[in-house]
Amino acid sequence: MIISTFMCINLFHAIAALLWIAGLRRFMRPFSPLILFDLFRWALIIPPVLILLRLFNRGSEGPHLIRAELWARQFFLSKPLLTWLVLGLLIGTLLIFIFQELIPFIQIMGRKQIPSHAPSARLKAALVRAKAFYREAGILSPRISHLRTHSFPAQERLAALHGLGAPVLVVSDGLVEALDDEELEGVLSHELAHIYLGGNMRMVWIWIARGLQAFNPVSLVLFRELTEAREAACDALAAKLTGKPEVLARALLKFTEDLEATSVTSDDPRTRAGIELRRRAEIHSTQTRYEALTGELTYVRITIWSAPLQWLTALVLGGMLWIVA
Amino acid sequence: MELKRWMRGVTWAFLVGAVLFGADRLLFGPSASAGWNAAVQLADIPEQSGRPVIPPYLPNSLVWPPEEYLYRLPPEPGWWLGLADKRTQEIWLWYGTGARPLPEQMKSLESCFDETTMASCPPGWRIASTQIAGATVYVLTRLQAQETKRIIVGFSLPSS
Repeated sequence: MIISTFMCINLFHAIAALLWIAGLRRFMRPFSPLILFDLFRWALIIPPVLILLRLFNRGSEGPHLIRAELWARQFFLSKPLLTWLVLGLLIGTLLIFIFQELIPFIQIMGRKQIPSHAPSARLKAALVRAKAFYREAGILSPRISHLRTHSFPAQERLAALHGLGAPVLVVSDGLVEALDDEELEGVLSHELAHIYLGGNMRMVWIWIARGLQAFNPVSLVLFRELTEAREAACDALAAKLTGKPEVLARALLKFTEDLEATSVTSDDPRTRAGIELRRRAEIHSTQTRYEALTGELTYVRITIWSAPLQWLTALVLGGMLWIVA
Repeated sequence: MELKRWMRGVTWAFLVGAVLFGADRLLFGPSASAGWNAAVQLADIPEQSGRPVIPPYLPNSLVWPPEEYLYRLPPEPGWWLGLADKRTQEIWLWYGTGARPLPEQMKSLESCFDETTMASCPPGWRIASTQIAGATVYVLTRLQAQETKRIIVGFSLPSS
């Protein structure tokens, strides 16, 4: 009974967080993508923390908006049909987590190092200029300042942060060739923004929090939204710092062209279908980002209040979820 | 303009809360007091609190019906009935489920349930328990051990 109650509490926390954030995005337009990313981040981290707090603080609880114990009884103990439906949904979500997130993550961790070579002078110069944007804005942290870059021989247009503790920025030769200097600066500024937002390590922590709620379908939605919000936040920050959103949009367009031109080659039809699905999702995501950059002006502010604001969003969301269930 | 945006955000937070609250109360009814409630008679104790059992055996020194009827609603349902002594008119026996925290009227008996040390009731009081339909029913009383045992045994007798 206790487990089903905690599952219900977690479900309602996720529902409340998702509803609230969706509304804020709509009613507080224009909404900063950086704050949006923070909200999604906390929406995944806070619910398991609250469950732990509840576990160690039972008996001294005040009234809540949702009486999770009653919902748990209704879902899991009252009608067998409802119980099976809810269980089916939870198990289905858990399987999605295992097959779409956990197994690919293990595969990525076990992958051999990609062969890389020293970056070209043009790539190095673009990185220096991208770092200069961060210095001018007063947000050049040591992690951004010390970031190294490598090139790797591939015709696909790719740029990504590789590694957790001391990440390296890897950029494909195909990308360097395809972009002009301004576009390259924009893309590198976007990658540096990932570090500004905590880098891969932060994403792993968030993902672990997500893994603790692997059965929760709303957490699945929150995590998918978070990954989109993260890219949008990096785009917005890069556009703000370079002052040229249209250049970054142009670079994104080149990514889409490359993705659309890529043909899926595999003998196994299921593998082919999986790759094709991921490719289409990627194209859709890139198009959405392109539209955001070319549409209304992004609402990004970097002030001395930026860091305290992150903790304030955590406090507000945490307090709200504490009251909910 | 900025203030308007924030106002919209706060209003939305209240709306989300109201929707969740409304759904909960619509489905499960109004919220009852989170703590212990008093009832006037046995029939007033809601079913969700559990069904109080009537002891088949009670010594003649105790008054029936009970002097006190206490209940608590889900999520932590429970009930306690207090029986007075005929002579002193003081509660001489409490019986009910062990849902804690105990009602205010029984606070002095909290130590009877202390699991960290040896259970030690206040002087003159003793505790006993039995299983009835899968639930533990406790008896806290100032009666002699022999009488307490009879009450406990009485609970296990088939009801007529």
